[in-house]
Amino acid sequence: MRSCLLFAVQLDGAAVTTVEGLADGERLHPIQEAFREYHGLQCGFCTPGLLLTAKALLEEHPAPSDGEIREAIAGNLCRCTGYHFIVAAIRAAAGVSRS
Amino acid sequence: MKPAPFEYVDPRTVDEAVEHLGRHGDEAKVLAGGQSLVPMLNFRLARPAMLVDINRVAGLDDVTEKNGALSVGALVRQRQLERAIGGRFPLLAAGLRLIGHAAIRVRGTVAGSIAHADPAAELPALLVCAGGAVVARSRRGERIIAAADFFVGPLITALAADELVVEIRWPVPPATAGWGLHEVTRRHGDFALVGAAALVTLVDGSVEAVSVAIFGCGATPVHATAAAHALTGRPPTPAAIAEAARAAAATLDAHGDLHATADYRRRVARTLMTRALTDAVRRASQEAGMS
Repeated sequence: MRSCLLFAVQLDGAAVTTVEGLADGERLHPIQEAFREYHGLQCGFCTPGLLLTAKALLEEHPAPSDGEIREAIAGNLCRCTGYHFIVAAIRAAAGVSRS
Repeated sequence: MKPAPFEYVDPRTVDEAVEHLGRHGDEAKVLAGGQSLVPMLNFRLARPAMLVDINRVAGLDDVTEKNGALSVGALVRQRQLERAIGGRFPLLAAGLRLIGHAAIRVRGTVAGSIAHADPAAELPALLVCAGGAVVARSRRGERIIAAADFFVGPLITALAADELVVEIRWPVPPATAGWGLHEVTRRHGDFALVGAAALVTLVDGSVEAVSVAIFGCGATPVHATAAAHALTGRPPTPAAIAEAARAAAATLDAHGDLHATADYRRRVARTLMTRALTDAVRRASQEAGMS
């Protein structure tokens, strides 16, 4: 969900997960690990959105094709990476989730 | 930017919601998915004095089928309907997948997109193509507004200020109907520059029924009746389809803006109609078991 399109009052009673909720203490979430290993970020500005979008994608499609990955992240703009390594990171994270 | 200050109410029933709208009418806006309204509030293009948040209203999130039509409650999210309809209504399923991105569709509602009436949106045009209707409730009662009468202008509908959309009705096309949907966008998920949707049924190799709607080309979705007239009762040859698209495009009152000229929109509408009709005929032929 786009946090800029939700008013705080609408979340009364809801549980909200942000990127800060991905890691388990010092242990990165597998998607975060994949982004680190595959260089899926540079400045990091787009990264919170991409991590959570990737998480939502993999929860619904554990084995997405590259086309499905690209369509899923089409709503997140990155000015640094050119997306190739982001797609590679998500592909790798999918592999980890399956194994 | 952030919205201008507003009063916020979150009714729990339709009666409470229409009571607020009845009392505050012109100064109030309904908040459902918020995916179209909240950006306008953030830019201060809209400054309603009151937001009536209907997200906690009971009984509006059902998808049911009755009398050959899909009844979609006002709070049904686009993503929810996408998953619910599957093969029953492929034109609608295809259209839903073109709306924005998953994060938007998880919140955005089917009814909200229709009530918002952006001329470049997919759902209003699909409702016109399918011959659907909007069910609106107010303190004065309930009424059903046919899609053909619902879209009045850009972001303007036939709804009165005190009316709440409670349901959208989608006639389910016959199993033998073929469909086609094409749009041109600058990036995947953008609003369409132009789009065309088509539904066709065939009998004995000729067109029994055809409906074509165009979006992004004018103040409202356009029901291309000229195309329908040109094809009904005739074999849908490539030449017949091309002529139908040409005739319909000639009647289009396209607009130009910073994204595309009027001429571009008319030309592209013609091409997209041709493609949508061709796909619809091919699919209808497959359904009928012909080649």
